[in-house]
Amino acid sequence: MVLMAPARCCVPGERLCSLEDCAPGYGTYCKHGYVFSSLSGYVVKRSDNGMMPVISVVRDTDSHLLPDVGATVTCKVMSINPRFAKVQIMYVGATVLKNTFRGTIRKEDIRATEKDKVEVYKSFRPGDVVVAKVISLGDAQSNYLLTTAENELGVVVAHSEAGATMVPISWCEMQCPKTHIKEPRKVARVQPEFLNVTT
Amino acid sequence: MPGDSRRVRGPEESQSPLLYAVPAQLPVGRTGRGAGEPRAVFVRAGLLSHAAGSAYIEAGGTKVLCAVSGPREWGGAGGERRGRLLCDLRWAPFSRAGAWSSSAASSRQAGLLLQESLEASLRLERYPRAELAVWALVLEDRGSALPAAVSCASLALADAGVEMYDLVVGAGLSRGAEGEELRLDPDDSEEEAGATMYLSLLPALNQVSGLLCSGEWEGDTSVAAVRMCMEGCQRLYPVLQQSLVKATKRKIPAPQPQSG
Repeated sequence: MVLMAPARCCVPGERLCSLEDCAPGYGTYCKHGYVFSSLSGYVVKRSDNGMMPVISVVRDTDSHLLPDVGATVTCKVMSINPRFAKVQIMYVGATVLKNTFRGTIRKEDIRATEKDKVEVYKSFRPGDVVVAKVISLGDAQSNYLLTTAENELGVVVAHSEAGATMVPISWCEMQCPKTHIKEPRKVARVQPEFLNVTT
Repeated sequence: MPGDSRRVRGPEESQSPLLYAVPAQLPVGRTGRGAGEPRAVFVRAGLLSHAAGSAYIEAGGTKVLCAVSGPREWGGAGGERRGRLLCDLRWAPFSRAGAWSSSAASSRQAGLLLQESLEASLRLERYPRAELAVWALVLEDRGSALPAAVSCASLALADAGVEMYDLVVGAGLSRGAEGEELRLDPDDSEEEAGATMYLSLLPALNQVSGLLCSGEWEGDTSVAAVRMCMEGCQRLYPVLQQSLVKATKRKIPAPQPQSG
């Protein structure tokens, strides 16, 4: 991969190059056989060996990232009821969102097996930090629909009634280090690459 | 004890400050510029630290400030997959000389033109279930405030890093009484004199995204007027581009050349 220096600054509507020279990347659009910029930022041209170079426009802060279908998000449980848990999405991947988005984890999306025996209050409690995946942007009535029906998804940080951060002891239980009381949760098996991101 | 919010709690006796103000010697009419010549402009982008993006435009005595916030959460009525743009255009109470009259009807119409002009330029499909908000405030109105607000709002959106097809540039034009020539970028006295036209253009794509006319317009003159407005837009475009490049360089450090 080669990056050509120096970076040029461009504004929306600026014609960058012909569609025959470069493939359009992030922050660009095509019209009449040319690639135009759709952001104000720096022009970056990357070419993987032998392939057509991809031209894109970058800004350092990815401030306009929105949760999309299939994205892994980190959220906080705000309230629970017997049918679903309401959460607030705070991170998309490793990027913090400027404005939080509301999401819903329905009862049947909490885990993959024995869906009929799931109970929301045995899986989440308000205040838990949960890693989930977006399955739908929702319709007119509902907001983002999330799922935790994977081993890697579920509660990552939870506090006991004594206020201590609990330690996961199995995929469905967490224990308080102070009082040694066990509480049921849908625990996530956090992947090592995620641990690097969160610490 | 909190007072009655519905009651005006001013002093019992009051006078207009204009009685005491020294009458300012404002240049009236077109001093030293031709019919097709716009006023000198000052443009700056990215001046408000608390907004996602902002811009300020000054053309003659007309001053417009614009701020953008978002994208933020929006419910999305009726299964709408695109984002939504929210525009709010206001005139400050002190923006015009003389007593303030809140002309709600014309303000609403101006807001609609602003919304229409900007929506065509934005890639709202990239912001599903989200909302972008634009606030434009006319600090002082000495004519052609609406086209200045259009240019300013578009610049603020670009400064916020919203994806768009092109900047939107606005231009205004007025025609006096019957048979008079067209005057680009009218000041307030010229604006009140007769028919006016406001046009928004996407200069790089050469597309008109908004048009608002008032007064009587006929075939030939209106074609000439549209052409003159488009020329005015093209003249302002490089100024906006320059200030945006300056703001981008100030806001965002250049990416480090990397290899590997």
